[in-house]
Amino acid sequence: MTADKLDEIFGDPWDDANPVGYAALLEADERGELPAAAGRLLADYDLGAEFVPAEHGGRFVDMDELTAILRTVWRRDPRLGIAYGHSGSRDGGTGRHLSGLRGLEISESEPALHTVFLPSLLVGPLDTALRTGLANSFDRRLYGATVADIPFVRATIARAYADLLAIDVLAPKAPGAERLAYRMVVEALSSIREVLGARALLRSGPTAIFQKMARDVAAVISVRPRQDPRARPQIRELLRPELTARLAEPELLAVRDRLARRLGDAPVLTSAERDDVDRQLFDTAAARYHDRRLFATTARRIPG
Amino acid sequence: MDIQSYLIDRVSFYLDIPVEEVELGVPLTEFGLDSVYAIALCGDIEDELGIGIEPTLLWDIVDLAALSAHLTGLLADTEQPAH
Amino acid sequence: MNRVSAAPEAALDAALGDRAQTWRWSADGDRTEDYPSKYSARLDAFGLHRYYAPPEWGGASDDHEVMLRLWRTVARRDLAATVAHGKTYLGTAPVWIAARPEQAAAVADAVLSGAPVGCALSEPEHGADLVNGSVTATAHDGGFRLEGVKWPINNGTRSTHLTVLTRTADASTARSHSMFLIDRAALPPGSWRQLPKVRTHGLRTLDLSGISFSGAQIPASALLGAEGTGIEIALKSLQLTRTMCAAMSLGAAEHALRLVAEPGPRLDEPRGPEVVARCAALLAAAEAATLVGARSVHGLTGELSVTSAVVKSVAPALADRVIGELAELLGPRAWSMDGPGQGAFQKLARDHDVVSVFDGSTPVNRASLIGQFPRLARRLASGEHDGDGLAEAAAIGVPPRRLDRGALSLASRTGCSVLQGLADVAASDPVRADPGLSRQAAGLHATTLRLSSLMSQVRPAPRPPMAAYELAAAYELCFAGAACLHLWSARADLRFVEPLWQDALWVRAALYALSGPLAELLGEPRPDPSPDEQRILGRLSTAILTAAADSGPVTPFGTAL
Repeated sequence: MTADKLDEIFGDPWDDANPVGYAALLEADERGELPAAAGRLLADYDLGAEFVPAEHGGRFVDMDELTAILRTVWRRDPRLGIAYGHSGSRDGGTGRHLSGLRGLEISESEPALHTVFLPSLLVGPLDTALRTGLANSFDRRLYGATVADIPFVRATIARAYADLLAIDVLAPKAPGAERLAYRMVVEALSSIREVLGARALLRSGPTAIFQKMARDVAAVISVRPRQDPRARPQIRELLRPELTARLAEPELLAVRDRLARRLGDAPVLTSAERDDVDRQLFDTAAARYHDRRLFATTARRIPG
Repeated sequence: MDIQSYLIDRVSFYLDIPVEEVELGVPLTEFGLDSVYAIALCGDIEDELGIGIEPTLLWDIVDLAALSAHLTGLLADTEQPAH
Repeated sequence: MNRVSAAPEAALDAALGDRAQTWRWSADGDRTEDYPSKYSARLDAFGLHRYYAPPEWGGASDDHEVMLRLWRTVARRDLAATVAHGKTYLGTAPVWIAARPEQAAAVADAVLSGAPVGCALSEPEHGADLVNGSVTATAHDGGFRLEGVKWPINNGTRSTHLTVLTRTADASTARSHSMFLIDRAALPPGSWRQLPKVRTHGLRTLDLSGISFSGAQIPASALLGAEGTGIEIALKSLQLTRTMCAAMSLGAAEHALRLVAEPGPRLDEPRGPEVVARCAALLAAAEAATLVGARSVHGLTGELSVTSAVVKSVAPALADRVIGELAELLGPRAWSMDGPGQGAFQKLARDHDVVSVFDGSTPVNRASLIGQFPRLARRLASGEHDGDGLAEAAAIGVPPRRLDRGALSLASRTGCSVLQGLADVAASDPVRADPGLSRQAAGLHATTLRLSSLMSQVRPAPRPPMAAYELAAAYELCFAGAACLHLWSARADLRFVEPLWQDALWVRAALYALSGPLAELLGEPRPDPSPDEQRILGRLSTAILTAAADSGPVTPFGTAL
């Protein structure tokens, strides 16, 4: 099973009739529940098998593939991801109070235990949030132009996209990586909130999925074991070379610059270079949006 | 001081266009000098000419020629002896 | 602390009563999304609404510092209740600026009898873009006919009166709009429709709704001020309301700090006390900026075009930072319903998310500041400022001069005296007396000179580049730092009586806490905290934890629980 296949099963998130579309997920969220139809779909798909290696009857191939599949769920609804994301069966509970949330671990019977890197899964809701921001920007007119024409908006989107890429290429085992990644997700969501303006706050309408993603991300991050803040990450240790190789040059520069500024190091880019890179990254993000491709490095096509 | 030249120079800076393209008789809003610029331009005029004006003056005045005339008049008034 | 000036807040806290009871109202409200009527009733019984009309129209007081403190006291318990009640202040702001006597008298009557008044500026497609608003008022039958939708309006359903900004001419200039004062009871039936309340991520109990006009006939006497002055009136009103909104941020951040700083397992974290100290320091900076802002309404009225934009951005930005850091420290307890105060933290975080967006979002306010950069840069470099006005703005607790709304200006003639007076206050005796503080003050001043140079290169534009927004954000943080120094210098005597004031503790901590974010905005490297900074923060954490344990004040000008 691949992430493509799961996306196909999930279908168009903007279809109001889709039981795993945003409308249905938001409606269930309002009730503090998980949608039963979504649960059935994931049970039929047998998400738990993704955690179990083939020789034990499962479908686990490698971490990156598993991450891609889980992100597909998390892009729709992080709470679905939490409830169904490990061991394949419901933990019990409705995901409402977030107590009883356990770490995401692959089937414990396996000797080679890996823990899915949670920030990597958060790229899912961040993708949805960024997509919502872009959709809104192209849709709305303000001050005589579309919102997407406003330089502040373009730079904000470019930088949120750079942050998404940074998290995507982050090395999970690097000291301080996890904590840094959480900060970046939260700040990227904050910046998209600024671009959405008042629409970021509505629980109905085309942007409503944004505030759910932001809330869910905050809740999920809060239950992870606290990271040691004294770990001082070094940029070169933070990046996975096999993934940064997939980045275009402006993207790699942007990623390194964002990380440097966050870590209190001297910036990698001058002001003028940063403007240039922002411009290019906005264009790439916009192209991916229009082309219905993921923002992460795979840039895979998605429904919707 | 040549108020007209000063205004042309300021507008050319704000709109990032050559001074030759700044026309005195064209309505300000047609230039793209909207209410946002009124505030900055008002501040410049006040600081440069030493007189007090409100940005709303720039909302009411049609073009640079009229603005120049108005400011010249204001300066002449302030230069009158107090009695 | 000057306990005399804390008296109205203490009285309001007493009137609000038992915290466990008001928390139940808050928790229930967040769930049912019903209007916070119980809070409103207590606030009305206290007479908070009497602050929304000026004294010359029968109101209780003109003092915006007092009103800010009263709002903060409510905001410590529930932001939505504060916003719901305080919205009448915004709704009526245009009236006190532009109304004829008979209009003002009618509104004062309504306000003083507790009626909510709303302000309808925004439209679904136009947000803060007031000049492109499309609700029209067309001359008709001796009056005007209204057409179009205003949304969102706070108190959109409950308000008895509305101040409404409408288009009265076609051209897209700033003279094409007029402000009207509408008595809803007098609107012809069938000519308007109530739009339902919208559900929001936070501030869920607010009556955020809208109104759709279709040929609603209103009398000529409903015009507020002269035709064509609508934008001017709206902008001046927003100068007052945006400055005062900061009370929400102070209340929310203080509430968050107390939830974390109260004795409990959350402080077992090795970093717990340091985070508490850093947050308390940022909160002190926000408090300083806000109090100076509120007093600037009186003492530096002509500068509110700058002050309001700065305060409306910096207070929520600092409070967001505080809430975010504390959430990280709290971990699961921040979000679950079993956490501190049974879910109080996650509620205040969601509620506060709204504050940086409504009434002029942070980007909107920064754009407004950028438009004033040329003059602000010049004066930041020259240091000229209004010394008397600044002294009044820094005199916390002293009854200020009466607000003269005629002195409101759309473009501050004197720039921003708080920042421009930085060199003087850095050289003042109370600052020079402490070598560490003196060093920090000099450092902040040097930063403002670098900032001034960068600002002078920015060309004001309707769509400024991102770099300009970062300079605006830096300007705001410098304002907060300068406000801290002015307030320290004005009341350094308090160092003998108040723990947070000993050895300039709060102001030194605040300046340290601001320096990291400031460096990041200016693209400068951020060194690790120096031993001196660690020592100061260590002392502050002890002071804050002690204060929180005793339910005492946790900010330099704060009040006990």
